[in-house]
Amino acid sequence: MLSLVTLLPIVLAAAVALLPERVARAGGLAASLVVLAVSLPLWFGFDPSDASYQFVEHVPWIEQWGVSYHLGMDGVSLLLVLLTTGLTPIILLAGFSGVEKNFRGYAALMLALEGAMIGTFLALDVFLFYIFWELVLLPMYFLIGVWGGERRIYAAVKLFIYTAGGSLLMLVALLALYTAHHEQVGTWSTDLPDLLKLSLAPSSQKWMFVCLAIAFAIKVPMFPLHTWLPDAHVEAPTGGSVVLAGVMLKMGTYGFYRFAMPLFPDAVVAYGPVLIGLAVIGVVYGALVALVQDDIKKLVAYSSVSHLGFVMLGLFALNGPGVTGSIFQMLNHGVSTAALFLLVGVLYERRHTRKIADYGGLTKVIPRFALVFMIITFSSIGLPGLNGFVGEFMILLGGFQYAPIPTIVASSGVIFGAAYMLWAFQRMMFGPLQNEANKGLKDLSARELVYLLPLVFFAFWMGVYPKPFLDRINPSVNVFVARMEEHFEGSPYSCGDGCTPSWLSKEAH
Amino acid sequence: MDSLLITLVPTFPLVGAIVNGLLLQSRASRVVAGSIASLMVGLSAAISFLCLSQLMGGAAPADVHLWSWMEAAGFKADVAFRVDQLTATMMCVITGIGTLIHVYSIGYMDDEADKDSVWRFFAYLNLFIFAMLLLVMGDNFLLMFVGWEGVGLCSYLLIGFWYQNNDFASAGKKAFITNRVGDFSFVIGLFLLYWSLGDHATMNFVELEHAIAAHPELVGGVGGCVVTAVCLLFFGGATGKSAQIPLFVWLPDAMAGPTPVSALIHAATMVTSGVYMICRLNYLFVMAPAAMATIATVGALTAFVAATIAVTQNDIKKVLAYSTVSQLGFMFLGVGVGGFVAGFFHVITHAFFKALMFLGSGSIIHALHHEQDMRKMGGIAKTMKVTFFTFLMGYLAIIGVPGFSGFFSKDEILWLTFITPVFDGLPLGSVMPKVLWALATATALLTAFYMSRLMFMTFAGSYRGGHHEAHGHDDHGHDAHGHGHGHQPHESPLVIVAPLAVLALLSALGGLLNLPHWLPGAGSLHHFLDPVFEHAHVAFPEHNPLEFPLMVLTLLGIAASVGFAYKLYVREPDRPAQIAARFRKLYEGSLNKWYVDEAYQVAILTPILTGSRQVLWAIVDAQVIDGIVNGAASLAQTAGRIHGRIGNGKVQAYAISIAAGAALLATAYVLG
Repeated sequence: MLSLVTLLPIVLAAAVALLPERVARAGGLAASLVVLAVSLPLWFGFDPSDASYQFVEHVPWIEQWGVSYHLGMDGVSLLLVLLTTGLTPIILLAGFSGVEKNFRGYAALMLALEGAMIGTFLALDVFLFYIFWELVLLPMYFLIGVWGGERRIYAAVKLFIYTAGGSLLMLVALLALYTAHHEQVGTWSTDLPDLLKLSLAPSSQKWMFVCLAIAFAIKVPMFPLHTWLPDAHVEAPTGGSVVLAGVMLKMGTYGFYRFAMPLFPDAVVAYGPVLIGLAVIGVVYGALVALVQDDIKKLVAYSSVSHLGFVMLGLFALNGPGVTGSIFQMLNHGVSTAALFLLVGVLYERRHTRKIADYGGLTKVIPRFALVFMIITFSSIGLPGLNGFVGEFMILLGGFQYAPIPTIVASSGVIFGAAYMLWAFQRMMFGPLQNEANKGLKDLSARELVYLLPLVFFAFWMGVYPKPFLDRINPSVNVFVARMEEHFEGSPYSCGDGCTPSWLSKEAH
Repeated sequence: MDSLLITLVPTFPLVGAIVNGLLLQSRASRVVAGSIASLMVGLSAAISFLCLSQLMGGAAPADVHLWSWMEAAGFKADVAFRVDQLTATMMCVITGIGTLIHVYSIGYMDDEADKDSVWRFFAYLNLFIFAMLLLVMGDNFLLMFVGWEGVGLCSYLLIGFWYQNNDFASAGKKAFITNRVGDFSFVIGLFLLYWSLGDHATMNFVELEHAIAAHPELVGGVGGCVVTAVCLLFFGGATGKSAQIPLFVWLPDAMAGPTPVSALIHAATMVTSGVYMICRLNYLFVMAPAAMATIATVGALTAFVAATIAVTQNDIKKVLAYSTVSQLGFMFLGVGVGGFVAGFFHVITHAFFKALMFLGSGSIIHALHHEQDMRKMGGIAKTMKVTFFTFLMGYLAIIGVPGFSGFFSKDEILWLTFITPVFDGLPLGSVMPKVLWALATATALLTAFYMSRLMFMTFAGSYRGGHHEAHGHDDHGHDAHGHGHGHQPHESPLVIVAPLAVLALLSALGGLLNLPHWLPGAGSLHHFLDPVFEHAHVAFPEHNPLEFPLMVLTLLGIAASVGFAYKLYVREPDRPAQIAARFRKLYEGSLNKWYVDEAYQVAILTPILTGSRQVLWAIVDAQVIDGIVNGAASLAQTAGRIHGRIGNGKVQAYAISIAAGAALLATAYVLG
């Protein structure tokens, strides 16, 4: 079942690449819809009450090295896989108008990318994970390099250098872990459950964690490793930006959740404060830089830096509300930011400019677009009742227990978030309609509504009734938190009596 | 009380918003859209009054659980309502006044330029009622917060209703962001409260009240620093929503919205949410005398400062806006000195008379084709008799003429301030009540002065406006109105003046809801709300010989203020300019709102924007971080050239060098 979901898009990618160009659109879209249809039974077949990995496939692969083909998913993987399979048809449908050359190549790469990303979310063997992780980079590199804007080569190379640099560190850490397993157990294994059983000295945990953390932090991206993102987004075609923001960034946070943190809990104790610090800097820094952007795509890119900072803060809060909120926020960001990039793409296709100053007063000419844009804007700034609030609130609530001061700083990101989004919205949509070129703009077409409305629907659903999602996240998060807590007796993270934070002084004056 | 009926209260306006905003849109004419919207709020009002009457008949508060909303490892928040005495009273104020204002708007929004978007207006207005109801009906902090930010959203949308005017759109944005600053404080307070409760942590109001009653030590007991911090942070939230120092700056700008919006949102309902929130959490606030003292002080100062600004404003809506800020200050003073019911009573009476005066000013503005400058009004009493007479009721109420609603609520606040025991243990606790009383009384005199000034400039004398053709705010066309009117404004149609008449009646007689202790039938609101404040009984001294002398003193002062305004603005109309010239600095300070906006611009906004652009983006991002990255890249490139492999920055070069490096390092580690 999981192999089917992982490999089908890759097989279909090859098939689509062979299609004649004139049917490439229909073919590509159909292929992505087939993958979506195949992935949906996972939602219904998944048992939310069971916290262990489900749909597990485990077969030996390279036995003498201890490498196995091991797939399996918990609630977190489930939702990230569905996010991936759900966004791909949207991206391809949106590409019908934006992609001007070689659609079949574009669709094939998107499908291959989809398969690779699903693989990273399902792999439970670190070797397999590493292969999928690296595989993701190639289609993305070509998507930006071939279909991108003017400075596409610069952006693609920058992306490549950053991530390849990270991959290198990841490889080093994984190899060390692999040898450590051999030393302790006497056999070779790259299987995650095996590696989780190791007891490593805190000192070796520390440097391995640092290597993995840098690799994942680049992908997230965390401050100060974020500068590839704005360039990649600005140069990427709309679909590239959507997949980058919608799914690929979550590979980084997922990497922390699945590998870096459970494998090296003692290192998390030691370096958690550093990561919380960087996450909080990212929240505020991203928001402040977003505030002064003149290019709408850059603005959304920096907003991602800010939002992903929240996700990291929640993960390192290491308690139920924080981690659950963090996972939920990954999905939220996938919905809202994907929609934002799609909306920016809609405007770009019509006007071929990303400069905020070239717009203004658009509400008058394109009211439907304005309504969708406004809903997504408020989803992005965490208006209660829409999806963003649920994640943000739980993250900050959780974060506050262990790191009150950093969380207070991060909470200010909620103010700046409202500032940069509403200011951008005002400059583009409100005010007098002055620019002649904007007067004949066409409102959203039926096709555009078809791919935007599902995202709007999710923004409401996840905001008003997030229970089905939270029910699937919570059991997995409880396992994660329990594993972390085992290691925290006596550390600054331990939560002594009851669960009252130790910093809370209660004496009356 | 029936669960279904209670659920219907917020559902009706939500349905109205969806029908007008998504289904009918411009297919609905002004009258159709307005009638649907009014009907929906009217239905909610009917049920609200039913609930209120049942509670008055002794029914127990009702809980309605709809669905489980958020849940994670012990943290839990539901979509659930609780209707108790406080909530039911607020529901009636919101939907009752809401209905009147919806009906009024059908008449008010008849401008040609709005013809295509009037459906939007009614959809937003319905959505606002929905959000406001969530705010007061939610049985937990989270649902309350949905309403809290939801009303902010509607306020944003309605302030910027004429979005093609950039200043109006900016005013909406300013309101939202300023409120977010307050919300920031509010959620931090919530986090602190939640975690301090430990195993008793809850988001639910009823559970919270029980937890605090049973385990006051969790928040540090009376005077504890946790509870003090929590209450101060919550009050920080209130300063945003309810426009108090230091976050009051958004409310005067919010007058950019259509006048019914100013009446409903920015006078009668939304801006009183902060007072409601403190009343809802009364059992917490009474544990934190220092926080109460802060609230009372900020309230009194805001009341005074806003009044000093209102004195010189020429825009009729700006006068009313600063008057609202000032009256909100009175409400906070009331709850701050422990008079929760007194503060809440002022919420109700103020809702009556301020909604009335905003709508009355709207009637005038409408008749004058969007002229808001009082210097171009005058003599309107003669031509708009109903508007004048109803406005007069509001005026008499706000300045506190005995018998009118505002007199009873304001006088109770003043008196409780004078005798409050809440600050007894605090430093300066004994002089504080007297100082606050003096400040509040001075504000009452200023109120009488600037409201009289408004009355005289608007209604007395002779009409100073000219032809109407040239008027109208910015890009708002009014060609259709150029003809058919004479030089003098005419009385507004029935659909506008009828709501005025109802509100005038309420402003005049609203005092009956809660007569003072020296009258028969006293304290009905007190008795009704008793269960809500059962853990917050403040022991005010019962009898004090000063009560009546102080009241008479205040009344004499108010009469003197009115007389002074009459002398300045009716008898000697040249004098105000002379006085302004003599105290130029003071006059200009007041006229320019004491330059608070400018100060915020210089001290906060400019540094943030400049710093972000010049330092964070231009230096940290572009030079420091990218400098390192690009440096590394060109190093690799050079290395590639030296090796004579592939020249100019092709990706293969990096791939190969990276793979080689990886292999090298890996081997080193494996062997090492």
